[in-house]
Amino acid sequence: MERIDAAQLIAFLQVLTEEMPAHRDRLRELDAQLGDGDLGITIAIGMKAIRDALADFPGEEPGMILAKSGMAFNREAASTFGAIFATALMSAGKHIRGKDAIEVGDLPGMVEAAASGVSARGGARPGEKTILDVLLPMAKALEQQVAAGASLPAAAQAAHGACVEAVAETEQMEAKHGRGGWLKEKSIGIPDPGSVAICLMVECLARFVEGQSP
Amino acid sequence: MKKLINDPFEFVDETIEGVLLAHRDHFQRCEGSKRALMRADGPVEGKVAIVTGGGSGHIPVFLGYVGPGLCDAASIGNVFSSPSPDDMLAATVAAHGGAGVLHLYGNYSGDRMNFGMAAEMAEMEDVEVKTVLVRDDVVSAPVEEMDRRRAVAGLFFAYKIAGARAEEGATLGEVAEAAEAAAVNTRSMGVALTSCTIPAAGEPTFQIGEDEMELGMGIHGEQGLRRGKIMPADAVVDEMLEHILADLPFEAGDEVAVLVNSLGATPPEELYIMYRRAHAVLGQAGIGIHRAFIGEYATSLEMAGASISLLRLDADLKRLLDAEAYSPLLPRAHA
Repeated sequence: MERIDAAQLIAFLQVLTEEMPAHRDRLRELDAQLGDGDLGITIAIGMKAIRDALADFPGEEPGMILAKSGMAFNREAASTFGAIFATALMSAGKHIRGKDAIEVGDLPGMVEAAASGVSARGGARPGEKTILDVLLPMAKALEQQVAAGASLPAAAQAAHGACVEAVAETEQMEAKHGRGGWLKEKSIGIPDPGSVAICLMVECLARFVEGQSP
Repeated sequence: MKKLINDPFEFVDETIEGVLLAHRDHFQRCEGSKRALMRADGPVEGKVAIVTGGGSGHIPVFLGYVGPGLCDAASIGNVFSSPSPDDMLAATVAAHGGAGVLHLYGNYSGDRMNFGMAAEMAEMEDVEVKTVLVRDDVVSAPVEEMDRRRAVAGLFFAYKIAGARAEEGATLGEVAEAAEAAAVNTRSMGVALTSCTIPAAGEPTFQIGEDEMELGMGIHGEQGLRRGKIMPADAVVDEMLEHILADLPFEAGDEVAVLVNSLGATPPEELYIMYRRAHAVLGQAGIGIHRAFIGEYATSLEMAGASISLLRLDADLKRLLDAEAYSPLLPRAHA
C-alpha cells in the first residue's frame, strides 16, 4: 500500500478499534502504577466510540476522519488522555486538510503537527514522560525514511521501531504531569502508559499497511 | 446541605430548562447540544459571533451573558466543570454568522483544553476562530505571570466591551482586540465568608470558621491570599483595593468602571456598603469613577462574599461600556 485513502483509513480504524481493547488489562496495570489506573478503560471506551462513529465517515476526507475520530474518542472517554489523544488526531488531520489520501511524505509532518498540538494543549515538553516522548522520535524516524525514499510500509515499520525504543526510554524519565507527577522519582522504572498505547496503535498501522501491500 | 433542588445530577439540565422556559423570547438551544444556548435571533448574519462557556454554578456567568450587545452563545458543563468540546463546537457553529467567532472565556485549564479542541474542529469546518482569555484575579498569580491568572467577575467587562464592538460591525480581529483591551485593563479580587456546596458533592467545598473570612478566594473555592478574622466592610474593601490598585497599577487621573459583585449569598445592602467605601478610596486616590455596577454578575452558588473589579477606561472602552446590551439574567448591563 502506498497511500491511505478515506476508505482504507476507515478499514484501518475498523481493525484498530477491534484490536486495541484487547490491551485493556495491560494498560490498566501499567497505569495503576503511575496514574489512576483508568487508561485501559479509557482506551477501550474511546476505541468503541470511534468504531461507532465509523458509519458517519464515508464521504469525508482522511483529515476530517482523523479529526472526527479524535472528537468521538474524547466524547465518550473524556479524560486527560482523551483530550491529548483527540488533539493529536485533530492536529494530524488538519495537516492533511484537503487531501484525498495520506502518502508516505505526509507522515513526518502529520506526526510533528500532532506533537506540537499535544505540547501546546497540555504544556508538556520533551523528557517529561508523556506521549510527546514517542511522537517526537517517531517524527524524526519518519523524516529519515522519507528522505531515503522509503515506501509507506517500510516507513511505518521504522516508525514502530522508533516507538518501541522511545517507550523503553520513557522508563527512565521522571513524570511531571498528571497524577504521575506527584510520584516524582518513584515514577522512574515504569514506561509511560500513554506512550505504550500509542506504540501499540503504530504497530497495528504498520501491520495494516504491510498486509495490504501488493 | 439545604437546597431547593431535585436530583443533584439533574441540576444543570433542569436549570437550563427553567431558563429556556422563563425567557423563551431570548434564548434558543444550539442544534446538537443539550448544554448550549444562543440568542433567539441568532445567528446574526454578518456579525462576529462571541461564544463563551465554562462550568455551571456561576449564573449570570455564562448563560446570562448571551444577548444583544453581549455574547451570541454559551455552552455550560457540570457544576464547576468544563463543557465538552462537542458542546462548545455546537455553540460555535450555531452562532457563526459568517464573520468569524471569538471564543471569550475564563483562563481555566479544562476550559482552555476543551475550547481549544472545539476551535480546531471549527476551523476544519471553515469557521474562523480567535480566542481571548479573561484573567483578572490579581491573587491567582503574580502580575508578571498574568497568563496563569484565573478569571472571576471581570468576565462581565470583557463580554460587555467585546459584545458592543461586535454589534458595531467590527471585524473578528477588531473584536478580539477590544476583548483583550478589556482583559488587560481589568483587575479583580474576592473575599469569601462561607463555602458553596456543589449539589452532586453534597458537602461544602471547604471549611471556614463562623468568624473567619478568606481574602482573594477564587469563584470555585480556590485558595486565596490569606485567611483571618472577619473585619468591618470598610477594612475589607481597603485591603482589597490596596492589592487591586497596585497591580495594574491604577493611578491618579485614571477613569474606571467599578463592579461590586455578590458571590451568591451576600445581599445588595452589603454590596452598597462596600461600594460606598470603594467610592471614597478611589476619590482619595484621584481616580475618577465613570460608572458603577452593583449586584450579581458572577456567583459561586450559595457562597457568601463579594468581589471588586475595576476596569481602566479610555475613550473607546467608555463608548463600548456604555453601549446598549440586554440579558434578562443581568442586573443592569445597559445604560
